[in-house]
Amino acid sequence: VRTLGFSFQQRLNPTTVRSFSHLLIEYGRERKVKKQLTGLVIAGVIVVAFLAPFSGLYNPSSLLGLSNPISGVWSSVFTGSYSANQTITIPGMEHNATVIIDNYGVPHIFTQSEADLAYIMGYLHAHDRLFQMDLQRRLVEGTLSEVLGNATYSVDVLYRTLGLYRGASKVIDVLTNISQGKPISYYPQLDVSLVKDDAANVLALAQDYCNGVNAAIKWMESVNGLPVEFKLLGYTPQPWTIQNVFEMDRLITWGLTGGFDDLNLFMVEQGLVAKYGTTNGTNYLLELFPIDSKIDHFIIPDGVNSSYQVPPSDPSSDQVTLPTSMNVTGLSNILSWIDQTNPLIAPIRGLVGSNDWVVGGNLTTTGEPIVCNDPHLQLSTPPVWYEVQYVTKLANGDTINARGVSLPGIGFIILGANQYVGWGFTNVGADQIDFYYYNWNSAGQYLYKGVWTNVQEVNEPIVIKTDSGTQTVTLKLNFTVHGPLIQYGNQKFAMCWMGERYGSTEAIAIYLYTHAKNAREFLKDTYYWQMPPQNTVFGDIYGNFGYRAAGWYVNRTFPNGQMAINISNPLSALTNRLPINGSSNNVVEWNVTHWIDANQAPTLWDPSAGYVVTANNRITNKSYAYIYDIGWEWADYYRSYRIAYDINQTIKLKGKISPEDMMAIQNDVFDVPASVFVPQLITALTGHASSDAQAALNILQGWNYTMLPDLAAPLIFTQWLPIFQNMTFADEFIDINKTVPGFSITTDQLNTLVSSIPTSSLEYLVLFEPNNHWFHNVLGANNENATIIMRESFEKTIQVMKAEFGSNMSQWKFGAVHTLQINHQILSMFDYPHLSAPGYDNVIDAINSAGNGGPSMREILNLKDLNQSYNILPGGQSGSPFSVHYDDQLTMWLNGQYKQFSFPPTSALVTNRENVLYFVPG
Amino acid sequence: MEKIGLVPCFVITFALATLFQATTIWQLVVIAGFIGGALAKDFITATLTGILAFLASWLLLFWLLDLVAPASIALAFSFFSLFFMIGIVLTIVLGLASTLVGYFVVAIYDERKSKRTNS
Repeated sequence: VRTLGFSFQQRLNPTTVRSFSHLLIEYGRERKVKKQLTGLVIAGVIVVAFLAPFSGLYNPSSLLGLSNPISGVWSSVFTGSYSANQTITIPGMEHNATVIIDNYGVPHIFTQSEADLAYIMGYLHAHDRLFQMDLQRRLVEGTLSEVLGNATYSVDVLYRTLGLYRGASKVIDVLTNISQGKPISYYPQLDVSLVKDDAANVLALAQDYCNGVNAAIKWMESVNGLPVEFKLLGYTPQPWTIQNVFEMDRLITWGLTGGFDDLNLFMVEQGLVAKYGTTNGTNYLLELFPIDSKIDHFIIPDGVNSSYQVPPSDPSSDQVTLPTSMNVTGLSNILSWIDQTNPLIAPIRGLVGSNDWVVGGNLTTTGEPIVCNDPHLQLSTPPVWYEVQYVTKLANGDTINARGVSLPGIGFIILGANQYVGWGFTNVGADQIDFYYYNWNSAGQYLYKGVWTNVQEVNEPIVIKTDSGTQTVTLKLNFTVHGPLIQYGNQKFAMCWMGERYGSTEAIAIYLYTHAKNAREFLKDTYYWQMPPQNTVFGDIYGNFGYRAAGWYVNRTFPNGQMAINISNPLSALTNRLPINGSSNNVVEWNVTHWIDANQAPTLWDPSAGYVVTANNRITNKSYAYIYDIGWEWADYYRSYRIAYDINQTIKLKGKISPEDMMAIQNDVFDVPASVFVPQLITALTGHASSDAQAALNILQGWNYTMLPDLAAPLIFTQWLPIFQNMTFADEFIDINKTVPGFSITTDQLNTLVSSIPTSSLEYLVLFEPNNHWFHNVLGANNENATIIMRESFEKTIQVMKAEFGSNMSQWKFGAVHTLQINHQILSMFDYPHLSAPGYDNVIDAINSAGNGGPSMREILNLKDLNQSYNILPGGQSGSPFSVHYDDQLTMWLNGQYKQFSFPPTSALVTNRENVLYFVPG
Repeated sequence: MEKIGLVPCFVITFALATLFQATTIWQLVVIAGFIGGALAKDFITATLTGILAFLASWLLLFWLLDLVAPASIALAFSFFSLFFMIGIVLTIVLGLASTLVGYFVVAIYDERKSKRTNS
């Protein structure tokens, strides 16, 4: 009342009462309006907060956008699967086409032309694997930080330096030139006129494929159905381009031929030479990493003609060039930096190797060849491979009926069969990469052929996602005549990698493989497979089969033209294993006027043994003169030996080998190293073991060397072997670390170094040189031998295991430790389950020790009746976690089961149908 | 403007919210809330309409999703159940806020209009 200006002293007359009532009403109304206004403001602010275009995930706008049922993450559920009888319109297609999706999500495509096939392959890849494709594209192009932020900045720096995308551009240049009939200056051996039309077809089909991918992207955007990862990261993919197609090619090529092993080996060499002198140091290096392993099993056995004889006119030098010594602290820093930049997402990497073999019809129950393949790669969600079957008409009226696995981002079947020929790959492990070091002056110039030379500089902007938007950083890349400089601090090496430096023609080879009408044609087509070199086995329905180490290999020469690597001078093989002095007047360089091309590569045709086995092992002994040039990182002999043993045993027992026997071989979990080391271990410890060690030894004594999850023995063995390796080899390097000035490697690097020493080197020392100096503990008594180190390492192992797994050994299980670690690239919620797994590194079923690498698919091709072929993927066809095909093959794969791999010639004959899709021209 | 009770107000808001969601531009649902609030006869009606209509709209849409692809939705829920709960809470908040905006705007307008009439 006082507020309204009244006082009790005022006289209350009727007029005053009326005024007072009015004022009270006014007051009440104002108060009400004030409350309403307050409510309006609060509610309005909340509404605006929901509508405001905030960036980032943790705000109401983003959360509601992502969680709402129509346009949020839920809408990705529908685009993750196909609708029944869906009609899909793609502009540019020529004819109607039908696709049957089977009950494993595998598309069976029936088209009237290869162009339509390419469109549809693109569409299906994008539909099922778009995020995988986009993230791999970002990895190659060094643009991960744009969507993942600062955490991946160093990955972007590394990949831009490596220049996979520069290599992809060169592939397009090569194919374009060939399609125009222009010779390739750095491949003078290549007769471009033979594949002019094929190159043009490859480029045209690649463009059709991109159009198909982009049609799918457009459709998914139109229905708010982009894969859920795009929504969570808050970005949309750019259109797919031909450049991107060949970037995927370069990604797998880097995984199979790239890497920094020359630098790792260099660090070992530098330490050993500094500590023990050049002669002893080099000898010690070769004991660990022998040029010719003393225990081995070759793809082409001794005495078998590998088809190609080196012409006597090839001049080879008897010189040996070893790197000069340098301060390796900087080298150690470079390698640490590279280790730390292990991408958050896994590139396609050959972690443990691969298996492929072909058995000729004389030895098979079917009477025709059987081709088997299980390429071991980094395992990922979704799997590396995308399976497809297609039937398409060619311009010449022929029909192709092919089935196999393709790589999302590339529109061709890479591994598989058509109605005539089946094929499989393992990685050769070829050396198509060298590193150069130089003398530098204070002006930042490097000495090359006696001239101080400026580095070429290229600036590249890297966009980094930040909390408040984006930030752009300029990266300066430097190049010498040999390639991009990998640099960290003052240490610099130029990387000369074939995949960055030169274009290549393997796209033509892959295109031709699916067109081959017999094994002879297929073998001819392998000429165009340049990189990454592959141990290619093949067989046809006419009974022919064979092998070629398909690839083009580097010819390293001195300035006078002499080959730097000489088969009669094993030490010359160090040339391509260690960095090269780029400032030397006698610098070794790649001679691109004469490659060791695929027609000069080791080849077998209908071999008398009746079969060919490859498992990344060494191809031949010295019967092939270019074996040192081809490479040096051969896998240990264990898998190839075991496969050959299995084949021989099966034939011995049954007379012939069947596709079902091949399944058993692909899933064989016998550990050859265990069968070698465990008897030695038992002998060494008998009568000298503690009670705990004896109990563990008793478990090992009853073991049949199978790596099964329920057993304790494989756990004991796999825990012991690294400790034994470490106690044998690590002490020398710890000593070098302490005593050699400038030598400084981290514990992680030391562990990596020791684990990279081939197990067969240790095997040789244990079996044949048990008193070798490597068994002496240079930090201890320095007079130990293999027996003593085995005892000590086993006692130590058991104590470590008791602490980790408990004292009750009956509870120890290999499967508790050896579990699948097949993880989504960025979101752990989408990881595959971490199931206990059989197998191991040197086992045919090579699910590796970390559980994140192994058979990226298993395939058995029956060339008698292709419909009785089999395969399986480690996961599923779909990249959508909401699809039933996300991981529907995982357990089958783990348990060694297969699915039918049939080749129905018409859509009506496709069985186990899930959906039918109709593609029509737009 | 004719004011209506809870049931008709709920029906109108629910229908509009569902319709706007279906356009895939989810932000349009605030219009449904605004209209519902503007039509509500009182504050309680507006409040209940905002909460219930938006909740019902979302549940209906999720139910439809489940009808169309039960296996995929079940898989999606196994990953995003927390997301689902957050979404429900947020849509209730947005529904309530947008409905009250409509309600208060009309209420203030009515007050002003009433004041002008009285004076």
